Amino acid sequence: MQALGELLESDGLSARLVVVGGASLNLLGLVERSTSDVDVIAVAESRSDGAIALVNPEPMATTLETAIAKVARDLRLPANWMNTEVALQWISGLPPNLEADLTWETFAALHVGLAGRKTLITLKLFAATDAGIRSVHMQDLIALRPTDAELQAAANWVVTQDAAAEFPNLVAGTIRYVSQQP
Amino acid sequence: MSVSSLRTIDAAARRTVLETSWAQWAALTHTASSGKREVTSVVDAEALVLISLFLQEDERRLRDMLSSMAARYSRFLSVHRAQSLATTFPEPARERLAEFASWATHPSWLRLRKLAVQTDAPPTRDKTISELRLLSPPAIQLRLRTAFGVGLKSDLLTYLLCQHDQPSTLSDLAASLAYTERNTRVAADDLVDAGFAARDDYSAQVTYRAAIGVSSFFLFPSTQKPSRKKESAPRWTPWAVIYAFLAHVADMAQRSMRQQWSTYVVSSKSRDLIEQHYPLLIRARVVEWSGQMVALVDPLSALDRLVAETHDAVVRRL
Repeated sequence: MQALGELLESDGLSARLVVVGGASLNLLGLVERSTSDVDVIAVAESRSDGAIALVNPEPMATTLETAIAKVARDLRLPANWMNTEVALQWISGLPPNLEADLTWETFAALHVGLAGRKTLITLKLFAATDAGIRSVHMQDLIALRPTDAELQAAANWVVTQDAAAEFPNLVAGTIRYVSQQP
Repeated sequence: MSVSSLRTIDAAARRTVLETSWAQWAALTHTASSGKREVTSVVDAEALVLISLFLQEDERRLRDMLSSMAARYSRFLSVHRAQSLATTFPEPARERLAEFASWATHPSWLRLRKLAVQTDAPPTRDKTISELRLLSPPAIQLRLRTAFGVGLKSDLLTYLLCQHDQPSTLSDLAASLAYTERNTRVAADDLVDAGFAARDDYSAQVTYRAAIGVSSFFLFPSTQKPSRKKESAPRWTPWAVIYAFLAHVADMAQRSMRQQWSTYVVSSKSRDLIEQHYPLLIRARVVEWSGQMVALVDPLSALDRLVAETHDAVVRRL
């Protein structure tokens, strides 16, 4: 991300991205594991009143896409090392209070809003329920050591994300599994 | 290589283009002195104007030369081609083309003149350019334009004459002259119909060459000694490709020093330049493809090598 920020700066550009997933876990020091990608869930835009508004990162600005591709080329990263797949979440809704749960870090001209603990627990509960107990999401969720209250708060939002009748039970099963971990 | 090596690469690129451009100005007019080098290849007028615009901060005399050229001889320069080639040059050259237009007296430059912006560049000094040396072999592009007008057909004939009977494909012609393939084909076929060029339809790709007898007629005007042989005829050299590459190197180096780029950014930008220009330089036969070049892991080392190879080609083909 430092490389990306420096490239943007050299071309007189800047970007403000909101990041979730493994990159956010790592940079906030919540979980130490290697990650090969950076999940961008939103772009932060300045409103006329000076406040920041989060918007869908799709479609990504061509200049940003070009810089991302150059970093991939230079550092031999996968082409999709920074991607917006998680931005599909804009269709069914973002986790609650995402904007308030951000920690901003600066990498040259790249400003990154790192999703905080509450948001990450929420998204990881959703992803772990989807992907199962052997997934990296479940490992991340366990590593976060969420409290019962945090899991319950997350579950309130997660159950709204899938209309299937059995989905609330699956979410409850995930919470039970996490709670049983030492 | 370290980032500080970029200064050396910048200096080498600037020295090459400065010496070459002055030598070419000297081939076109007695106002300039050639210095150490004598020109034997065709001077590409628009490429020379663009590289001189780029270099004008390095040498104020170039700015005076340009303003004088624009004032006296802009009728021999192609606005269309200058704009087309300008897209391959760095921003400073593109921006200054409008200022060049503001000095020009020929109406064809009028529209571009409107884009000129006020700059803090020093005013030009009155240095009236002498008569163009139209009969000097490297000036054949301007000579044919003087005779037949500024346009694709004059340039096409220049190019074909300076290939020394080597055939050229349509895509080579279009790429070298910075015109579209469609327009180039129409113009080339007209030259064939008029007996100035020959077309070979039987190769895998259609090729064109100057018609027999045409070269000696145009390349050696009657005022020149009859002893001039074909070998001494000017050759076409892809100056636009060479100048654009070296200008981009110098521009990148300047921006790097001004903005204090990190080692990573310098490396990435060097790689950009190689990816963008190496294939063009190979296609224009300025350099040859080299596995060693591709194997160089450090992009700055590869750029250094490419600048050196381009310099060698310039010395050989000037």
